[in-house]
Amino acid sequence: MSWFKLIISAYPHWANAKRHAKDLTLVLDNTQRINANDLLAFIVVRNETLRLPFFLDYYQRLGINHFLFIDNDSNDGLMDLLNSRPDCSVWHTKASYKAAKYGVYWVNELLRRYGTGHWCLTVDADEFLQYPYCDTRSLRELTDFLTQENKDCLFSLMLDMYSEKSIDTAHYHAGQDPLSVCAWFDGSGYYQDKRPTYNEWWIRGGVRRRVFFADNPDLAPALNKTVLIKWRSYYAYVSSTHIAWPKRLNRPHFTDTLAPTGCLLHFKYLSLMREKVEEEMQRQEHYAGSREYQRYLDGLNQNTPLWCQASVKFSNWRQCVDLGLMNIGRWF
Amino acid sequence: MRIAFIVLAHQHPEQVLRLVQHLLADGNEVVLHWDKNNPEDLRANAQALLPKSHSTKLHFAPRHKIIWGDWSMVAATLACLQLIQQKRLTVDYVVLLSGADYLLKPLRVLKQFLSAQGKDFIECVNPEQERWVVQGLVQDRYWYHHWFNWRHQRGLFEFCLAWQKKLGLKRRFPRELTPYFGSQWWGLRWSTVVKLLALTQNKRLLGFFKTTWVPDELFFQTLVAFCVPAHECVKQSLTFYQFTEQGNALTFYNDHLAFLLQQEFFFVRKLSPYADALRAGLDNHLAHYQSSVPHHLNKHLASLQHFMSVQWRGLPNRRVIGRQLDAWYGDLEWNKTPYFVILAYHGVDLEPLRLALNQQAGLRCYRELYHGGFIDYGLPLTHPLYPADKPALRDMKRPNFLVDLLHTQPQQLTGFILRLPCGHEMDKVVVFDPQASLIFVMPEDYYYDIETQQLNWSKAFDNMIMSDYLADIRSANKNVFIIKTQQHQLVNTDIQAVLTHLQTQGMNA
Repeated sequence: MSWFKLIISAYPHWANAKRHAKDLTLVLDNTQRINANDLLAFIVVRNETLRLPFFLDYYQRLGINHFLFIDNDSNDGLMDLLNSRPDCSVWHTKASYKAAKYGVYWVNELLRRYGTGHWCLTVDADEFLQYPYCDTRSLRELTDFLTQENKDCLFSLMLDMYSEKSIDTAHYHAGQDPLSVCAWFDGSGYYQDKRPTYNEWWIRGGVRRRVFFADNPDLAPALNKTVLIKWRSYYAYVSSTHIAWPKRLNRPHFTDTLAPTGCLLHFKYLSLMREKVEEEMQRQEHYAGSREYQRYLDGLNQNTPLWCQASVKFSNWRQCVDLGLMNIGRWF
Repeated sequence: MRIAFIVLAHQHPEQVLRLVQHLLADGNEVVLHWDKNNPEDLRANAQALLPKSHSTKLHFAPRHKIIWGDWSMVAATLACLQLIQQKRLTVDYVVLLSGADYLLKPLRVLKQFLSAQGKDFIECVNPEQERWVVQGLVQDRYWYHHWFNWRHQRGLFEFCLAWQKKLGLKRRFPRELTPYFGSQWWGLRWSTVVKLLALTQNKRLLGFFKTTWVPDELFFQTLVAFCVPAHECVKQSLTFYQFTEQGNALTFYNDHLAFLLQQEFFFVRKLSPYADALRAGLDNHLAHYQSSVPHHLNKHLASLQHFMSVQWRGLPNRRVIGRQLDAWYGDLEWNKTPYFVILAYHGVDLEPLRLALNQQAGLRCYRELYHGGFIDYGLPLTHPLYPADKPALRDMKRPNFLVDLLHTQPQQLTGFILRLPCGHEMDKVVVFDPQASLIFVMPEDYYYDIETQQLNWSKAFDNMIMSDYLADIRSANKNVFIIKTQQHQLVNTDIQAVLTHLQTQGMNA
């Protein structure tokens, strides 16, 4: 890509990020503690404090050095939890999540400002990354390997986890491992297609497609996420973390052989969901007129079971490799 | 037997000192070269960590700024050797290690091994006879001058090389020397080192090597091969290392303990700086080491080779996330489970055939899986992810549904009925899929109705359509088993023929 073309196409991402970053106010500033080469995590949260103790533990153990939160007006005591932590910084905003393209513009600006030159993980509070050898090798070892192989991104597939009981009875309490509540996922039924504009692999499937979008599965939300990127100043996320720009970041593998990919365990179907869905139906701050949330609400009201005979109980990352949902690539 | 270890390190002082502690514990001399690019103070760190008795044995070499692929690596090594000479340390062997290395066997075993062998250990491979460099330049490394670094100044590096080639500025290798490549890590007798150091007084010789590319894999190897008789040199390194196909040294992690313990070498390059559990495992192995002294050094790479042959392009019979050659074929592209399809025209009654097939052990035949309105399983065995009343889930990508169904019971030969023309892509997909064995049900070749004395148009059309499909199959060079119906009914002998055909298919699979 020529420099001219690069600048022209980077400009809208940059301008949007700049404009929407004015909504953010820094309320907990530990950014001086970020060292060169640190692994950073960027998280947009709204009333998800209950999930955070385990979340922070989990990613700290994997090797994340600093967490940068964007708090979209939580009122559940987020700051009480984070105030004492030297490895967290928090930006607060009351602005519209939808206007900021579902948080993407906010995250892009923080990524540009603090993430440039670092390996950056952009996840939600209910997403837990699993990658090859994650039980014996740290995230830092993965990023070192990827750097050595000249790869600056990690592709991952989102696995929707659910419990064998109904959603309303899947109770979760703070600090608990969500895997102990929701241990099941769909081992097959994932459809992948390459889309032309950004060359991203568009993957749909899992329990969402099967239960909530069974009548029109083409509308099922995307499950492909490029969550880990060695950020450069002009990079940008385009649509949540599903699509990144420039489009080579959406390339999961090397041209000749495979690269490691991850699985992102997604714990949405907890009893917390009802409150969240009802609130979101009021706010109308989600994609496509919150049609996804309408379906969730219908499913909740009809008490639709998520578990089926073909569900698989999660044991470890090797199981994902055996099911063809994760690749080790050439990482021996 | 006294050994001096040279340790070249550039980061992670705590891991370097962990190695150094091991080396010092046996009463050896250690010369540590700490890269000048790293501002951390290793000397203070070492004094805090190591016991006083060791401090006389630990020497710090003058620091160089080391750039990979550059002469600075050799310069640092030579500085360490000169330091040993200046301090008049009496040693029998000098072993070169990196800060990311670790021990695979106790040093007392190494000493026994070295005193039994009494030779130099340095890998020497003649590039004109054998290939040692995995990827990249080979003879160009010393034929041409390299003033720029390929990693940081790739454009300039390539430019200079290309112009030297264009102008024919090939250099002659120093007279009397033969070029040898090899791993940077060696163990040499002190007498050999003295000869080496004498040779380094020759400024013209050094000048030649200073502008070669990656001289650390060329300089010592070439000079040792020159000044030591061949029978006194074992052309192997004491350190176990392995390069990937991309030319990077393989890094070892916490889960590699078993792999490393198979190797017959004394040291290993290189351990991940975060692999504390692996280091602890190796420590434990060293403390309880019982085996005798090895006679030769061999690599055991079976598990690595298996990994490379299996993982790199995707596991056999497994989907690869983020790779698909043809969107139409979906998951069928990687499917290796054979299946059969009964391709039939509309109107023929296939239930007798299906019943007969399902009575056979190891065979199961679904009804019309791709029926327009619902998933017509026709068997109690259905796929839980695809309820019969949700055909949209199936139709989102039809081949994927088939693969998911095949994998519910891969040991059984599974099949289904597909009525032609079907109005979607599955007709072509199964015709071109190598895993599908096709059974083709055609109407009789009889278009003329005697009673009405006219052409029977419906029969004629069925036949035309089926003939078109048959032409497709023939053009795909595919074997097909053809049955012709009588009055739209299957004859018993045909059913038997299909059974025997499928049984042989199952046997072949």
